[in-house]
Amino acid sequence: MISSALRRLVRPVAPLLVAAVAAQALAAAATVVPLIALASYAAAWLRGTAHAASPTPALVAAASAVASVLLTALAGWLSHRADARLQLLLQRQLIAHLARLPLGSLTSRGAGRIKKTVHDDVGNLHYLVAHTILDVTTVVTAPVAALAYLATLDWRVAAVALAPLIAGVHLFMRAMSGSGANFVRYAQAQSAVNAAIVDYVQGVPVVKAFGRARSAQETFARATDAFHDFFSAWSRSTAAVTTASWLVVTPAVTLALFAAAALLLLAAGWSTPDAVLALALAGPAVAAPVAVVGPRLQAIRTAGSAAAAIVEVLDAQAMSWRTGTRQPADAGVEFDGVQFGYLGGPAVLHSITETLPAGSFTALVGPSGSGKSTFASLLARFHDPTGGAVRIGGVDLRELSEEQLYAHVSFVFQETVLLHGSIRDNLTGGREVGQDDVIRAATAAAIHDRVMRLPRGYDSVVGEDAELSGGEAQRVAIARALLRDTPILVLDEATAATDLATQSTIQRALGVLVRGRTVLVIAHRLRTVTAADQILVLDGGRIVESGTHHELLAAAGRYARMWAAQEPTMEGEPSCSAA
Amino acid sequence: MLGRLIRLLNRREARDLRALVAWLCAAAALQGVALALTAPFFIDLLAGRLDAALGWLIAVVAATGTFVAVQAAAQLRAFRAGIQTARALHHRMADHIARLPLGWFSPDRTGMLTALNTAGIPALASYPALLLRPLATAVVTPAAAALALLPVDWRASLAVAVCGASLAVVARAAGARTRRVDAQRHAAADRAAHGVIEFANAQQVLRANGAARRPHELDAALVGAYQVNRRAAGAMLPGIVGFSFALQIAFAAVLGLGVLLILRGGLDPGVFLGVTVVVARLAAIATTGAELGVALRMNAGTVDRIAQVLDTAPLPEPRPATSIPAVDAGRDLVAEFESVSFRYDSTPVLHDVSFQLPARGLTALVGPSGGGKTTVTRLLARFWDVSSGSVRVHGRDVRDIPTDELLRELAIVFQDVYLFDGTVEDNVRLGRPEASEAEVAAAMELAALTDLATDAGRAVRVGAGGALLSGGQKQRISIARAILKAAPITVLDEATAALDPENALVVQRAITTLADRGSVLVIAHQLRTVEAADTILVLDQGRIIDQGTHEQLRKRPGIYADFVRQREAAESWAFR
Repeated sequence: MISSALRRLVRPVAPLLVAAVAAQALAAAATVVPLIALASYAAAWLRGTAHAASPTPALVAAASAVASVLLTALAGWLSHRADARLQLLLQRQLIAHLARLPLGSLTSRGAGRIKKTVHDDVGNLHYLVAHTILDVTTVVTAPVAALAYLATLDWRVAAVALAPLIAGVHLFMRAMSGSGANFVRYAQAQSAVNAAIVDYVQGVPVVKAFGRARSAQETFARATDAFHDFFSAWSRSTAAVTTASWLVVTPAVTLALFAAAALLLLAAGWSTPDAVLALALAGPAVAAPVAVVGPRLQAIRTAGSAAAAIVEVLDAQAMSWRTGTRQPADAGVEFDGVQFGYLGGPAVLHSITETLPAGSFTALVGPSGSGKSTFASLLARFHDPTGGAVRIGGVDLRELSEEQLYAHVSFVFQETVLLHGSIRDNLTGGREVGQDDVIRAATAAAIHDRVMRLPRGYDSVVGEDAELSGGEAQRVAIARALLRDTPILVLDEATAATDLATQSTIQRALGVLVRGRTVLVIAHRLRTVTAADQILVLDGGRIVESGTHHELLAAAGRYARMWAAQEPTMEGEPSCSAA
Repeated sequence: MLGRLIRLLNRREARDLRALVAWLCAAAALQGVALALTAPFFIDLLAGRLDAALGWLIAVVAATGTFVAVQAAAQLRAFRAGIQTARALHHRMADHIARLPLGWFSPDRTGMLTALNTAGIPALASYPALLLRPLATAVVTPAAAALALLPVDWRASLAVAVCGASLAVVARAAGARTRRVDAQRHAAADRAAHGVIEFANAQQVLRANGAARRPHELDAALVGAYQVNRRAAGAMLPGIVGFSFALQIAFAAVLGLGVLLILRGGLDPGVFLGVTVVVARLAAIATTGAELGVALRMNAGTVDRIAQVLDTAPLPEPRPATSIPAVDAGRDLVAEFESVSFRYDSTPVLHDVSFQLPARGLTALVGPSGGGKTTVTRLLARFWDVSSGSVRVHGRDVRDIPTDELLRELAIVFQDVYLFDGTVEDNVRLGRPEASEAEVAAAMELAALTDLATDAGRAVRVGAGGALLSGGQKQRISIARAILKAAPITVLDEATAALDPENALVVQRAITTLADRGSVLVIAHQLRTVEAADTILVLDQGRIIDQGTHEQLRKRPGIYADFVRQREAAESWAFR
C-alpha cells in the first residue's frame, strides 16, 4: 500500500512517526474504556445491584478520556514536527542535488517542474505525514479495540459486530475492482484537459488575433466534455456498489442490525442483556472505518506519486567534482576532440579541436542554432562533453574542483538574472570583498552612479527597493565579472545590444572587461569582433573555418558570405573599428 | 460556500443542486429518526419486555429501510449533480475566457486558470457526493434525533440539542484557528516557492559564482518555512484536538448527569441506557462531520477563484443593432487614434495621442522604453479600452466593432511567440487556414523558413508552446503567419529580433513586403527600419512629441536625433 519511494523518503523521521503512531494507537484504544465502564455500570443496574457499584470504573473512564485527548494532541504534535523536519530535509537534499545536475538536465526540467517537485510534491507529503498516518492508525486501532472488548464478553456478540464490516469491505473491494485502469484513464482525461486549457489560455492572444478563438474554445470544451463523459460513466458504473459499501456501515443501518440480533440473542437465551448492550454501544465502531477508507487511500496514492517524483529527481545522475589536486599551468583553453549531445539526443557538437592561447581573444560566430552557446557552456562545465575533453592550462575540467574552475572562468550572459538580495551580494556573489574594490568595479562598469541613486546604495535589495532595467542588470553582471577577475572570460556579445539607452556605456564597460584575459566571445554581429585574434566559424556543430577577419574574408567561404549578408553596404572593411 | 457555488450556475443546475440539498437533508433527518427509535427498543429490550421490543424493532427497521432508500436515491442524484455542476462550470469558463480582455492574461492568471480547470473543477465534481452528504448528515441527523427523542425523555432531547449546538460552535472555532495557522504556513511556503523558482532560473549565475550549492537566500526561506511549520505543530493542536476534547467533555457530561439523576431516583437506568446507545452514534456522526473541514476549505477556495474569473467583466461587445457609421472610403486611411488617453490601474500611460495609419506604408514607433509604444499597439487591437478619445479602424470606433471583425483587420506578431502543439504548417496556416499551398510556401519563404519549407519540415511537430523549436524559428513562424494572414494592418515589435542579425534581416524584409501590401505599424529598434519608414512617431512619456520622416527628424535636436546617434554608435562598435 505504501510505495517503496515513500518509505525511503520518510525513513529519516521514522522514529518520530513511530512515536506518533504509538501515541495515536493508545489514544484510539483509550476511547473504548468509557464504553466499557458504562457497560459495567449497566450490568450492575440491570442486575439491580447499582447501589453496590464502585466509583472506580467511572474514574478510570474519566482518566482514559483525558489521556485519549492528551495522547491525540501528542501524536498530532509529533507528526507535525516530523512533517516540518522532513520537508526541510527533503528540500535541502533536492536543492543540493539539483545544483549538482548538469545544467542541461536542469533547464530541460524547467523552473515550473523544479518548483513543483521541491515545493508542491514535498508539500503533498504533508497531508500524509502529518494527518493520514494518524488517521489510518485510528481507523485500524479503534475497531480492533472494540472488537477485542466484545470478544471478551461474548464471542457471538463479537461475531455479529463483524458482519457489517465484512459486508462493507466486500462491497468496497467490488467498487474498487478495475479502478486501477480507470484511475489511469482518469489521469489521461485530466491531462487532456490540461493540454487543452494550456493551449487555450496561453495562446488566447494569438487565437483571438487570428480569429480562431471559437475553435480553441471548442477544443477545450470537447476535452472537458470527454473528461466528464468518462467520469460520469465511471461513477455510474460504480455508484450503486460504492453507495452500498458505506450505507451498510452507517450508524442507522448497523444499529438496526444489532437491534435485531440483540432481540434474537436474548429471545433465544444465547446472550445476556449487558453483552447485547455492549454490542449496541461499541459494535458500530467496528465497521464504521469502511466509510472513510476511500479518502485515506486517495491521500496515500497522492503522496505515493509525489514521493516518486521526488525520488526521480534525487536519483538523477549528478556531476561529480574532484578535490582539485592539479593546478592549471596557465589560462590557455583547449577543446580536444570534443563531442556533445543533450541527454541522449543527437550530437550538437562534433569532434571540435581548438586552442584558445592564454591572453588571446577568440570570437565564435555562426548561424543561430549552430551550437555557439553550447560550445561556450562546456567551458563553464554546465555540461560535460560526451566525448573528448575540455582543458584549462592542460587540466581536464573534470579534474578540477568547483572552486578551482570558477576561480578561473567567469561569464557575462545574454540574459542577466539578478538574485533577490542586496546589490552588493549580487556584485560579490556573497564573498568578502572590500568596499573600495566593489566601487572600483562598479565605476568601471558604469553602474556606480546608478547604485548610489538607489535608496540604500549598495545595500538596496533587488526586487524590493532596487528595480534595475535590463541594461543596468547587465552592467551589474559586468562589474561582477570584473570583481571576480578571473583569467578566462566567456561573454555574449548580445549583452551589448539590448538596451538602447545604455548601450554605449555597456560597450565601454565590456571594453574594460576583456583587457588582459583569455576571452571567448559569442558574436552575433560580425563587425564587433573583426579585431579578434581568431574567429571560429561554427556551422551545424562543426568548426568550418577559422582565422582572422582578413584571412577569412580572403578565403571567400562561409564567413565571407555571412559578412556580405550582414554588411551589405560595406566593402569588406569595417569603417569604425577602433582597432 | 454552497450559496456562492449556486450563484455561479445556470437556473437548471442551480435548481438541481438545491433539490439535491433537500434530498440529502431528508435522508439525514430519516437517519436521525431511525436512530432515535432504537432508544425505546433498547429500553423495552433491557427491561425484558421482548414483545414490546419487537414492535419497536419493526418501527426501527421500517425507518431504517426508508432512510436507506432515500439516501441511496439522494446519493445517485449527488453523483449526477456533481458532474453536471463541474461540466457547467467548465463550459462557463470556456465561454468566459474567450470574452475576457486580452490585457487580462498575465502569467499568474494563466497559471491560475490552468490549475483551476485541470484540478479545481474536477475536484468539485465529487463535492456533493463526498462532502455535502456527510455535512448534511452531521448537521441534520443530530437535530432530527433530538426532536424524535422528545417523547422518550425531554431531558435527553434537550441534552442532545445543547451538546450538538455547542459542538458545532467548537468545530467552527477550531476550523477558524486551523485556517489561520494554515494561512501562515502557506505564506511561508510561498516565499520558499519563489526562492525555488529563482534558484531554478538563476542556475547559470549561481553556478558561475560557485554559489549554486550554497543558495543562502533560498535556504533562509526554507528554514523560515520550517520554523513556521514547527511552530504550527503547536499552534495546530487546539484545532486538531479541540473538537474531540469538547466531544469527550459533552459525552462525559451527559453520562455524568444521567448517573446523578439515576442515583437520585429521577431517571430509570433502562431509559438512560437506551438513550446512551443513540447518543454514542450521534457522537460518531459529529466526529465524521468535523473531519470535513480541510476538504471543504479547499473546495471553497476553488469556488472563490472561479467566481473571481467569471466576475471579471469582458470588454463590452457592440450589440448587432448598433448603427455602423459609413466607412470613410474617400480618405486613404485604415486606422486612426484621436486624442487617445489611457490609464492602467489609475497610472496614466498615454496622453492625447493622435495619429493616422495610411492604407499602405510603414509607420514606425520610436522612443525610450516605458514611453507607451507597446500600449499604442495594444489599444489598436483592443487589449484594453481607451480612457478617453477614440481608436478607429476603417472609420469605426473599435468599441463598435465586434471583436472577431476587428481582429480580422489585424495581424499581430507577438513578442512572446506562442505556438500550438501541432505541425509547423498548422501553425503557419493559423494565419489563413484556407490559404493555397503556394501561398503557404510563399509566406514561409518570405519569413526565411527555408530549413522548414520542405514537406518533411512542414510536418515537424513544434511541441507544446513550440518547445521543440529554436527561438529564431518560432519568431519566423509567427512572421510567416502574419504574412499569410495578409490583414490590412500588421503590428509587430522588432525588439525580440534585434539580438540576432539574421532574424533582424528577415523581419526587415517582411516589413518592407507587408508595407507594400498594407499598413504596418512597427515598434522600431533598427536604423534601417526607421530609415525606410514613411512616418516615424516619436513617443515619450505617453505623448507623441514629434513625427515625420527620418530625413526630417534627424536634423532636429531631440529624442529622435539622440536615438539615431546612439544607434549609429552602437551599430559600428567593435571590441578593442
